[in-house]
Order: sequence, then C-alpha cells, then structure tokens
Amino acid sequence: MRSTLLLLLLATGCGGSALSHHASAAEASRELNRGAVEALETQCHARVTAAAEDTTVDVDQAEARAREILEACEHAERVQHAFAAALDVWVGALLAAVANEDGFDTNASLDLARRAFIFYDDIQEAASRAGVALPEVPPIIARFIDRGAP
Amino acid sequence: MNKKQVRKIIEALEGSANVIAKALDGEARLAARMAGVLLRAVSGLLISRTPEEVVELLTQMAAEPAERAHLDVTRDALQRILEERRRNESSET
Repeated sequence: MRSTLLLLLLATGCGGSALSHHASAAEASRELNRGAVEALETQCHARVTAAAEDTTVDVDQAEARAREILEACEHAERVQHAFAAALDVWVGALLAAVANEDGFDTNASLDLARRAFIFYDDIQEAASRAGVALPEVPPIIARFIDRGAP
Repeated sequence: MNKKQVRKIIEALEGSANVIAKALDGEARLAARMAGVLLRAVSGLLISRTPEEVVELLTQMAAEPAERAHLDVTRDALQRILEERRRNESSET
C-alpha cells in the first residue's frame, strides 16, 4: 500500500512540500497530545488521591473535594478523546490527500487542524479547574496552524 | 551542511531530550518531553521531507490512533482510599 501511495504522490506532484509540512505538524501535534495524556493521567491521579487522603478534613469532606477534582479531570478526559479523534481525522485526510489527483487542499487541512486545537484549548481549561497544567502548544505549531506556514 | 545533516542533528537532539525525560519525574519529565516535541516540530516544519518519508510518516500515524487518556486507575484508587478510610474510622469507634 505504501508503495502505491508513493507512486501516486510522485505521479500527481500534489503539493509535496506543503503536504510534508502538514504531515510534520500533525506528527508534532500527536506528540503534544501524548504529553497531554501523560500530564492528565499522572497529575489527576496525584491530585485526586491527595485530596482523598487529606486527614485534616473528615472523610466526607475529603470525598467531596476529591470528587470535585475528579469531575474536572473526567471532563478533560472526555474532551481529550475528542482532540485525539480530531487528530486522527486530520491524519486520515492527509493520507487521503496523497492519493488525491486534484492536489492537496491546504485550507481544508488547516481547517481540520484548527478544529482539533479548539478541543485542546478546552482540555487545558478543564484540566486547570482540577489544578492540572497541560503542556502549552509549542509556538511553531501554533503559528503553523494559524497561518499555514512555519 | 545540507538539510539531511541538519535533520540528523535535530533528531539526535530530540533523542537526547527523550532520554533525559525518561530519567526525570513529574513536571521536569514533561518539560523534557516537550523539548523533544518542539525539536521534532522545528525539524519537520523547516525541512521538507522527501515524498517517501511523507508517505511513510502518514502511513505510520494512520496505523496507530492518537493516544487517549484513561483515568480508570484514578477512579479505582479513589474508591479504595475512601473505603479504607471509612473502614478505619468505623473500627476506631
């Protein structure tokens, strides 16, 4: 399959450099997502369990605080799944573009990227309500998604 | 120095950032990993890949869905901690 796609890419000459940049941005975005997952899982765990183990308050108060943090984390978890799904759609569209004889639609690709990163903003907001800090979007990725060039 | 050599150097730096990240914990680990992400982005966005590399990268990414967070371990831990605290409290009274 890979060789077929390569032949198509070479034969159509469909915006090779632009496609390369978009593929790289998608790759870096997936790494950012991986960092966010790690931060969400480890920091949420630490904050929820610390609240539940807080012996300065009684068990009912500890539970209420822990569940409050967990609720914000679970919201971030759900939105993160949406972000991951949006990244998968973006990658799928880029792969489909390799075989597209009409050329690579950079605007459509950027639109998918921007939609995905709306979810990332939401994850950060939900995570911050739980006191969890997620990695910031590296400026080079933010700029690329904003204007379509590094 | 040509593009290929520059990319090799950036890849080596990215590898080093990931090695450092493995040796750290918490926020420092995340910061080191994000340094690797930044290097990867710089490399990919400033230096175009060959068509072969683009196809390979996209095929690899499409084969493995983006990672999803799972808080099941945290939910279980919370349940366990609360049960233990209540058991301890009732045994004390």
